[in-house]
Amino acid sequence: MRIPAVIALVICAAAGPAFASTDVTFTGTVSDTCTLAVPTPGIMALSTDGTILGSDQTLGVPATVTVLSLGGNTLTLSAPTLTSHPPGYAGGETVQMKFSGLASQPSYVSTQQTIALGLIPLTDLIVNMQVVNANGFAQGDYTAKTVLTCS
Amino acid sequence: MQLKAHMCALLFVAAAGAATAGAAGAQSLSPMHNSGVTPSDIKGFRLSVGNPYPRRMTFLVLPMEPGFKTAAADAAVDFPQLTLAPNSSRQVIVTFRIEPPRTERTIGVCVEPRDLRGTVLPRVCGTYTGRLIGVGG
Amino acid sequence: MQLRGLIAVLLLAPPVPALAACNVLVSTSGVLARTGDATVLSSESGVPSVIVISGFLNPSISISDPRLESWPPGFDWTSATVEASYQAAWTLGSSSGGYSSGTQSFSAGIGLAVTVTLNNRVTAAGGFRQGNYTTKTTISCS
Repeated sequence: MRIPAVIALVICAAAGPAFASTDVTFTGTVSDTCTLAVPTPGIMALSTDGTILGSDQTLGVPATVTVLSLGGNTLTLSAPTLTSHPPGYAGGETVQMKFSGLASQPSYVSTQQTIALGLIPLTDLIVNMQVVNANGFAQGDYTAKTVLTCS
Repeated sequence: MQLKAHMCALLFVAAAGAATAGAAGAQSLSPMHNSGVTPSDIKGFRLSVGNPYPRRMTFLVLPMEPGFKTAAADAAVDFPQLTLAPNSSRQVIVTFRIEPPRTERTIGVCVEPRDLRGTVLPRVCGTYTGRLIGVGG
Repeated sequence: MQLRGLIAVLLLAPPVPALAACNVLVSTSGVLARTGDATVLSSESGVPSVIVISGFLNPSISISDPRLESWPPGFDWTSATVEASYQAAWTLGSSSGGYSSGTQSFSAGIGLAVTVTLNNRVTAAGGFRQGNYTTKTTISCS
């Protein structure tokens, strides 16, 4: 009765301290991602004086680009160009763009624009485009474009 | 032609050495950057192309030089045009040759919608670097 | 007489580590993954770690020092917070602790083993650069 208890006590007392420790490791890989969507493509309309085709004219519609960026990505808008026009159009235009929302370029520019993105949740970039020609435009369809690259 | 046949024969090897694509979901292109070694002069990467639009879309997958302005020579994608259901993604394999005496090459890959009208052409581009085994870190 | 001799032998014998030793075995390593919030990497979105602790009587278990071990170049590690949370279960008992960057301890009851499910979480307001991340958390028993 008491003797086995004493023996047990002695065994426990004679045993060394118990201690164990280990590091638990967690690993993960993160990939940069960028998602672009254009829910509203943009439409240009003619100004009342016939010298500007633009998305901010009456009946024009700016393009909306939805951007989602995870990581150190860059958004580049190429210098806008007139990519198609009707026969008989003589040329001599200036193509310009401006944008707002995710980043701001409030006045029209003709040159490439770069926007540094970091962690951007789903955010809109609104892009306005205009083609300016003091000589006016021949009847027909015109397309102006900027290439928006997320890299 | 010869390059494409060679690439097809090595597709398994390239895929085995290729990086694993990023997470699933509606993403345009993932991963956007990657690098790796190759035992031969051809390097491959597996990428995931996603359709974030609410309708079926066809995308072009284009190998480019790193500045994304000109097409890359000696590079190919197994599916240069992809039609995807809304909010779906699919994997593609891009392969490119590392021409000697080069021991390393970086190419770009851009994904853009084929038929999108309007004033903005959106594209997502990534850069991928291949190195010959035993060279560099 | 015989008993006194036995006790004397036991007192003079070297310490016996059996029964009183703790064994900590990492059964499953953890995997971090992006969560719905791009500023958080967590094993709850990846794979939690499972640890089995055995060979004890009423151990005291502590979970401490969650830390970032490796990260890709350019990542601002000074602004990152690493935390650990746990859920532990043994015969006739359990314990749990929410995310903490400090030390959390609990005492387990008598049982054959304690199973600890451990999660790590990294929070970085500026998001995460592309690359590989590793965290570690120390788990001890005594």
